[in-house]
Amino acid sequence: MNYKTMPKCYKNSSKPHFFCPGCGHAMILKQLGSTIDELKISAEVVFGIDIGCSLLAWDFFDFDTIQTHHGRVIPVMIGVKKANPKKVAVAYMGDGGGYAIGLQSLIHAAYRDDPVVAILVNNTNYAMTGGQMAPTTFPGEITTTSSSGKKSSGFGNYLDGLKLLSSVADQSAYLERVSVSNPRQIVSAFKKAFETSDKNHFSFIEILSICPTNWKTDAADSFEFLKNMEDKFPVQKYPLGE
Amino acid sequence: MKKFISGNDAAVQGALASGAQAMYGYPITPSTEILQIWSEEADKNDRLIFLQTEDETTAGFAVNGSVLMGVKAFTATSGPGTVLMQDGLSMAENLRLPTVTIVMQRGGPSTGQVNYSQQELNLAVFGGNGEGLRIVYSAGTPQEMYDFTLEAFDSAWRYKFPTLVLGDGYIGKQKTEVELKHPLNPYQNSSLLAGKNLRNCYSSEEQFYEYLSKNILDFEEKSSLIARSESIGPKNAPELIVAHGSVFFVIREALKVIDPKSKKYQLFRPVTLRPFPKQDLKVAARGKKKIWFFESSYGQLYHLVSAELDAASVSAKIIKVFKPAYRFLPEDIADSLKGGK
Amino acid sequence: MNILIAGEGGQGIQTIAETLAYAAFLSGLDSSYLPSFGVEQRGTPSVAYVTISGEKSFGYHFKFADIAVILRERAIPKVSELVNPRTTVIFDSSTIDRSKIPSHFKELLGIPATRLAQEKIQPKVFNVVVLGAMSKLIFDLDKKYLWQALEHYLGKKFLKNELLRDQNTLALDLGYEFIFERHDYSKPIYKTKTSKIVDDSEGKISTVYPTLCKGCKICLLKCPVKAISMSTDIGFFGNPVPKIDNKKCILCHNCSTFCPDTAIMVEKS
Repeated sequence: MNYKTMPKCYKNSSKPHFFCPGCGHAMILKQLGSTIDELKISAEVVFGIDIGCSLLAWDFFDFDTIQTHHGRVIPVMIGVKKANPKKVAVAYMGDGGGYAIGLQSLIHAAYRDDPVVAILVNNTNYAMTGGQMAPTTFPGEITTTSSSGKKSSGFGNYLDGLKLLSSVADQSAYLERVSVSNPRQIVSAFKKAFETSDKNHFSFIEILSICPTNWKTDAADSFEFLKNMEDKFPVQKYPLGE
Repeated sequence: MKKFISGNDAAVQGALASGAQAMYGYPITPSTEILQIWSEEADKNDRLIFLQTEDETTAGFAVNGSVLMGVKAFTATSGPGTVLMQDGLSMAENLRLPTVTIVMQRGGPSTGQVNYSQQELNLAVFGGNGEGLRIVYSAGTPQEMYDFTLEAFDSAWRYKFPTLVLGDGYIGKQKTEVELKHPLNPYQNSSLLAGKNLRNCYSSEEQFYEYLSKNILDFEEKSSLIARSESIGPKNAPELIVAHGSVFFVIREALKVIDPKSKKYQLFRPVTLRPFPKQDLKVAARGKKKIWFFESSYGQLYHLVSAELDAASVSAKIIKVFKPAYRFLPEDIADSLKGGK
Repeated sequence: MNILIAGEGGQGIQTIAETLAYAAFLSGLDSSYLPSFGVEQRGTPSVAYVTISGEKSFGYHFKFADIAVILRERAIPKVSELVNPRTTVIFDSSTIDRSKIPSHFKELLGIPATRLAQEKIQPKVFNVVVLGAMSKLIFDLDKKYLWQALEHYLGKKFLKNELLRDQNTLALDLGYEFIFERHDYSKPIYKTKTSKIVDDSEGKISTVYPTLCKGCKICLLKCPVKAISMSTDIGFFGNPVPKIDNKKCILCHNCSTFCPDTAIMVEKS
C-alpha cells in the first residue's frame, strides 16, 4: 500500500512501525525522513542506531542502516565515515546510550570534531527496558528504579549533555537542543547538522522527546511533562547567542 | 625481502601487504608498537586511516564501521584491552564482519603483568556472548606474526568471520629476521552495507535461532577449509606433545637436544585454535602412550583439546605442564620430559 | 492445564493472565505465569502463558494450549501455532470475525467482551470481563480468590479511583455469569478497518489510515480548532481512530506534522 503521508525514504514494508502509541522517536524519525527527502541525500546517508528503543528503527528507512551495540553507535559511525568520507554518517541514540554507557565516545567525537551527525533523543528514562532512571531523570521523578522519586543525593541531579559537550566541542562543531513540541525546528536543526557534516565537522542535536508508555501519560500530560523538560533543558544552540 | 624487525612491526607489515587501509587502537603494552608503527605509516600515506581512540571498545567498533563500508580494517590489543574488545567482536560475529584483531598476550587477570602469557586463548576463542564463530590463528614467531596476519585478512574476507591473530609479548617485542613475502592473491573486499538494513537484535527466539543456526552451519562447513595444524617428529612416536604459539617453538628447540634422532616424541600444534583442527589431532593422538601438554596458562589449551581427545577415546596417559603467565625455556621442557612425571 | 492469552499490547492481557495464575495459586493449585517479552514495549501482539495444575510441576512455555484466548485479530497467527484439536479457543466475538479463526480446535467459544464492556461498564475493563468468564470455565474458581488476586494487582489504582473498583467488580461478575456463545456468535461490530478513510468535502480532502494509527490522540491535542475527534472505527491496533471535521479544519497541518504514525493528513481538494 502507498501512503502519501510517509516521507519517500520510509521503508513501507516495515510500517506500521514498532514504536509505542505516541512515541517521540516516531515523530523525530519522520522529521529526519522528510529532511533527508528534501535534501535528496538518501543515497549518501548511512544511518547507525544505538540499542534502546532506537534499535526498533533498524529497518525504518529505505537507506543503508546498521544497528550497533548499546553506547557504540558513535564509534561505528566514525569507522564508517573514515572509511568512506563521501557518506553522511548519522548516529542515532537515546539518552542512556549517549549520556551514560556511551558518554565518553560522544565527548571524544565532539572534542575530535569527527564529522558525524549525532542525534540524541532524550526522554529522561531507559524506555526499552521498561522505564528505569537515567542520568537525565529529574530529582523526584518516578521510574522503576526510583520508585519513590529520584534522589539527587547519590544518584545525581540531571545531566545537561548539551552544556557538557559545548565545553569540549570544537569551535566548528554545531550543537543544538530542540523539542518534539516544535517539529519544524527539528527539521531546521537537522538541516544545519547536515550542512555541518558537509563541511566535515561534528554536529549534535539533542531532541527532548515524549515517552507516554513509561511516563504513563496521555497525550496532554506527555506534552505537559515535555514543557517541564524544556524548562530544565533549555532549547538552544551552542555557542550561545548564535 | 628480509628485514630485521619485531613481531609487532611484522604484524603491521602483514596488514599493509594484505591491503589493510584502516587501523584503530589504544596504547597497551605489549602491543603498542602496532599502533605506533601504523600511525607512522599513515603519516606517510594519505590513503591509510588511523585513529587513536578513547578506549579499546571504541577501537573495536570503529573497525566494525570501516569493515561495513568495505575497507580492510584492524585493531591490536592485549590483556584488559582484549576483554574490552569482546563487545565489538560479538557484533562482528553476529553480522559476519571480517574484522582482524591482533592480540599480544600478557599476564592476567587484571593488569597482571605486561610481558607474556598464553592466557588469552579463551578470550580469543570464546570471549563473546555466543558460540565463538571466529577464526583464531596462534602465531609463535615474529615471522608468523607477518604470515598469519596475511592469512587472517584473507580468511576474514573470504569466509566473513572476525579473525584474530594471537601472539604474545615476547614475539611482539622480539626483533629478528622476518621475510616479507608478498601475498599472491589477496581476497577482494567490498561494502557489506550497501543497500541493506542490518540488525543484531531479533524480536523472537524463533527468528534468531533460524539466523544463528545458519551462521553456525556455515562455520562448520568452512571449518575444514580453515583449520590447520603442524606436526613434527615421527607419527609413530610413543609420545605426543601438544603446545601452541611460541611454546611450540621452545619445545622444538628442546627436542633437538633431548630427542635428536626424532624417535620418542611427536610434537603437535594447532595453527588455528578456532576452528580447531580436530581431525589432525585425532590422527596424531592415535596409539600414543603419553600425551603432554605444555602451556603458559592453567590449561586453556588443554580444555580446548581434551573434548576432542575424549571423542577419539584416547587411552594415553595425560601429563599437564602448566605455567600460567610464565615463560618456558628449552631447559625447562627438557627437565619436565626427563622427569617423566 | 495450559492457557494462552493473546491480544494487543496495552489491552491488559498480562494483567489478567497474572491475576488468573495468582488466583489459582491462592486457591492452593500449582500455577505459573510467563509473559512473552521482546524488544518492543508495544506494537507487537501481547501474549501470556499460564499453566495451572493440581500437582507441583515445572513449565513455562508449552507446545499446545488447552485453552487459547484471542482478544484481537492480529494475535491470531501467534495463537494458531499453539492450537491443536484438543484446544478450546475463546475469542472476542465483538471484534473478531469468526471465519478468521483457524478451524483445528476442539471447540470455539465466543464472548463479545469489547461490546459488553463498552455498553455496560466502560471499554477499559473488557479484559476483566474475559478474566471472569475464563476463570469460571477453566476450573470454576471461587470468585473470592479472583477478587483477592485482582485487588493484589490493581489495589493501588482502586485507592486512587474508587469508581474503578466498582467497575472492575461489575466486569468480573459480568464475565463470571456470562454463558459462552457456542454456535451462534455475536457480530464483530468493532471490526478493524483496513482501508483508508477519506473525506472529500468543504474543499479539503482528509485522510486517515486505520492500519497505521495507534490511537495516541496527539492529533486531537495539537489541533488548534478542535476539528478532530475519535471515531467508532477501530484501527489495526484495536484502538479507535481519529476523524476530521473538514468544515472546522483550517489546514494548519499540525495533525500530520505531529502524528508519529504518518496516519493522518488533510490537503486542499
